[in-house]
Amino acid sequence: MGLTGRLAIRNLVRNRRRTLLTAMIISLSLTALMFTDALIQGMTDTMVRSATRLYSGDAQIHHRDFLARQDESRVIDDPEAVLEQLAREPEVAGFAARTLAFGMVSSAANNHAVQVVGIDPEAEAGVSKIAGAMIAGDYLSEAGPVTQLLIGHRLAELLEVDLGDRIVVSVNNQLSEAAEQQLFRVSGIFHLNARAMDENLAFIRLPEAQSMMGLDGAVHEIAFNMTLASLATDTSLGLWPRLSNDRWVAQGWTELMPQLATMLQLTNSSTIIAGIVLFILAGLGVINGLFMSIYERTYEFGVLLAIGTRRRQLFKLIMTEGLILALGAIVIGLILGVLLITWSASVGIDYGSMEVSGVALAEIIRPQHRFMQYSVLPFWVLVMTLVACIYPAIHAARIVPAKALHKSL
Amino acid sequence: MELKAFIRHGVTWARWSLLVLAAGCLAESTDTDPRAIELLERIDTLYQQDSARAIMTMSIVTPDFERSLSLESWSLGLDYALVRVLEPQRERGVSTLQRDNEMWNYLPKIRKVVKVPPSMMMGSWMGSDFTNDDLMREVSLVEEYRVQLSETDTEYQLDLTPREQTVTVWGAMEITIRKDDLLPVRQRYFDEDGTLMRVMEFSDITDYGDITLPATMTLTPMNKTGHQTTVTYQELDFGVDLTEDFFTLNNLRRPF
Amino acid sequence: MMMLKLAFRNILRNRRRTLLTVLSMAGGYLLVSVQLSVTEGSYDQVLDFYTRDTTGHVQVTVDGFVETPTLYKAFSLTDDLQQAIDAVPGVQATAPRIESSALGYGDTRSFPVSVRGVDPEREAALSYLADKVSAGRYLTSEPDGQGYAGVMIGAQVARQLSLDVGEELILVSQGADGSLANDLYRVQGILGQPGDAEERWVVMPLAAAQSFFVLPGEVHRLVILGTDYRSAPRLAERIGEVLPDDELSASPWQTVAREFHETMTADREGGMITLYVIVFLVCIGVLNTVLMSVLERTGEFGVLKAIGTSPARLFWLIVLETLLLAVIACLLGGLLALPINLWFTLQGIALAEPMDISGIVFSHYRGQMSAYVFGFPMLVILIAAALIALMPAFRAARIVPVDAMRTL
Repeated sequence: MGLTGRLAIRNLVRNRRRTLLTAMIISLSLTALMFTDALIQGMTDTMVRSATRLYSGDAQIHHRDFLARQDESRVIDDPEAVLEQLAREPEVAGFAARTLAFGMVSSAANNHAVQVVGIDPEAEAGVSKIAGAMIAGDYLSEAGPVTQLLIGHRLAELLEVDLGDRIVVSVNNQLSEAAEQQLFRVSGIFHLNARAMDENLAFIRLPEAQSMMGLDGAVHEIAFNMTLASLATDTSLGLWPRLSNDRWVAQGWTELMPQLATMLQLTNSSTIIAGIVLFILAGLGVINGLFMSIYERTYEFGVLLAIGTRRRQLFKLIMTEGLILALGAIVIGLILGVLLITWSASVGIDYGSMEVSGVALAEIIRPQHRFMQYSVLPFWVLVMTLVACIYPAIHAARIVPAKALHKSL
Repeated sequence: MELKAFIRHGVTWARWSLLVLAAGCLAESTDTDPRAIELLERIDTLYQQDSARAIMTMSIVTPDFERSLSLESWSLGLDYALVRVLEPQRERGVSTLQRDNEMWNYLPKIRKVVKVPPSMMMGSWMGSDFTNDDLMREVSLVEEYRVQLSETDTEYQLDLTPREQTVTVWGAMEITIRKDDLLPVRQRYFDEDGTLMRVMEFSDITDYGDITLPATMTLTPMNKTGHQTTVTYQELDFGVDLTEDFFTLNNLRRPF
Repeated sequence: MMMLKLAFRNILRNRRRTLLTVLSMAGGYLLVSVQLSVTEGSYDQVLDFYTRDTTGHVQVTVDGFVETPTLYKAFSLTDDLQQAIDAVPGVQATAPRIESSALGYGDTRSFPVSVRGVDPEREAALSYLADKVSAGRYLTSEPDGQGYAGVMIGAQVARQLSLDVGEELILVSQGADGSLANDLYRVQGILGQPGDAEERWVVMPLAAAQSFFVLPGEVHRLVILGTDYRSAPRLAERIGEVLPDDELSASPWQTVAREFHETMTADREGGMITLYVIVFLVCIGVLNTVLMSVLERTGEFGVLKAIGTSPARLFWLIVLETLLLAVIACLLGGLLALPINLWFTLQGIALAEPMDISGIVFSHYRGQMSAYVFGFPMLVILIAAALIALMPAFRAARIVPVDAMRTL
């Protein structure tokens, strides 16, 4: 490769502007591909996290008849057994039991229908983001008074209450089938940045909820997160059947929110299409650039061929030029790509409050690095460049020396 | 004072007024606090056996509509009540039954009984400023509130603050009573920040047999402009022969 | 004219280079056009469906109803008003609606529902309500044999209250006069599936709703369909002129569904970025070529300048050449884009599973044939070409004849 390589490099260096321009196409294509992929990853991640990590959890366990009607009488009556099983599963990162009740909260000024959720504060902190979303007061604690209540900032506005104010919570008691009312005091206000939750959720402690609802130690829902959010989409894992039985069933978010899954599939296919588009363009640009370079050197190639250079060697020369160009350009493209992704990730892209499939994109989107951006993408760009080189190289190799030598002017 | 409580209070005011009159010479004393508690205690214990029947009109004013209802009601202690609409014709026969913590409505037009779910408990009763909850809630003033008595030349004022465990949205209540006939003048409801949220005014003193009471109470919410509900008693009968068996779903449906 | 001929001849001189450049630009045009077509087609689908399904193109309501709907903000829909609105040019169909909430009861359970009173025939002609019936049949205005008005209920209502077609639904609410509204209805049909936007609806004939809520002759919304959702704001203005008093207003769907509109606009704008990236890439490739062609002819330009051609002339010559290439490229691209966009528009690509965005079902990627889809890429490429040509043209203009002719 020695002579060919050096010739190639020298040829490239000879016409800097052209080399630079062609290299620019290649590197910018790579950068664009990397960024698009990073953006899609970030968007997907934000969507999933907004949907699952904010509150609902990567997966949930319910009584088999609970979800159809949100029927509060359909409970998991032996949550201890399930919680123990969850503790034994290596793929489970955090889990928490909850009771869910459709009821009313009233203040002196107003009242509002909400979902009252009974939570175990410590366990819950390992699943949802409520603990970190407090903007006033404190998160629920085991040690504090039984009247602790967390409401969203929008609900606090609606009810015209502040920390410490009285709230009467009414829910249905499953045993007596009557309304049960208890006094609570606002101990904390949260801001989850998702309107529905900030307006319609109220949290109290699990034991208090269970006693108000007449549930003897039973719960409605056990939510859990996996070590990797993507694991929840793998329905072949053994933990699903281990956590389910004839009375209750464990389901990942793809089953609980199928439309979100479709949305993600869609964005993935969009990326592929975008990628193909970019490839084609870059390929065209490279062919163009390379042809330019060959055209300019027709005379020179004519001389080379006339003095005995094999056609195959000429072909190799062009290909090598392309290869070196590509390698250099890819390196530049990689660097640019990394810089761009890192910068945009730290700045973040705010889509505002767009709602897709019922999930609010609550967080800022941060484009994400992925290993394939440094391995797969550059590889394909290299292949594309080399493929684009073939036609010009063949053309150069087929130059007829006599004709070429005419073009001295 | 809640609608039902008012009916009950009809009796208690009568007895309290006698007590206070009897102890009138002691009214000069500044240390009335323990006496106030004692009096409230008596009021609470006196509630349990009382049964009453009443006919009243309720007129409701809001920025969007004005209307007037004629109602007949029966009550037994704190736990049982049955209220029936007599007029307007369109709603004649609509009834509400309360037993302990549960509440039902009877709808004669469609001949159905429906149960009021907890989420509707804070909803307004028949479009008025009273809520279902007002109707249903039992209030034992002594147990659930701390009371302080103060006075002016013409009026007594009871300042009530709920105890820690009391299930109520109100931060404080103020009951103003006239000294000369010992009848309530107004009741004010405050939230915990001390903001006045609603006012109940009592007026039109009337004799009902051997009991004298204000016939009219007017409830005005302070946080909603243009709203007011006024209840006026035409007939009021205490000591009616009622038992728990009267307050049944069957009775709720019965045409009259 | 001579400049044009010169430019033409120049680009034809080097066929291969011209061809490649044209191909690059044509490729860019094609991609941009197809992308625009599919994007516009998708948005078009979504917006057209949404406006027909939910808001209509324009709505006539009481002032302030759109922002804060309440039971009491209803207006009287007189024959005169109806006729005046029907006469406004552009109005294709209208449908009145009453909307409020109630508590629904099945056998023992209760469930809060959203009640809608509609005129069955007019509603079917305007929105997709008739297509949503998943069980039973569409709403009729006549009461059943026992005198009960018929209703269609959403899937969640049916489930929560365990109601099936033919069974009775009780509704309790408050009338506009404050009275206790209560009545019995016969379930004629069930709408959609649980999870749909309609899952909590109870749809009844307008007259039944007016009677239930005590709103005689009144409606909350008059939904109006024009010819195109795009021309809604103008239609709203025209309708606003015939409205009798200041208390009524005509709002285009962009106002009625403000959040949806803003989301769609933001999404669309985000998509434009991809377009610009494509164009940028094309530009770089073309810049190469143009520069090349200028540099190659340095000697020639030197001679031209020596014999008196003004720099300005040379400048414009280069620009013209590039523009010419761009035009040819656009035409070529257009020819290729035409069948592709047409196929997308008529056939489209089916999605693996229909998607739900803010309540709209999206089942196909469709394209769009419009002046925008073909014209916009052309505009962009022409402008880009002009911009690209600037630098090389400038250089050509500044050639010093003596130095230039040395290269000959």
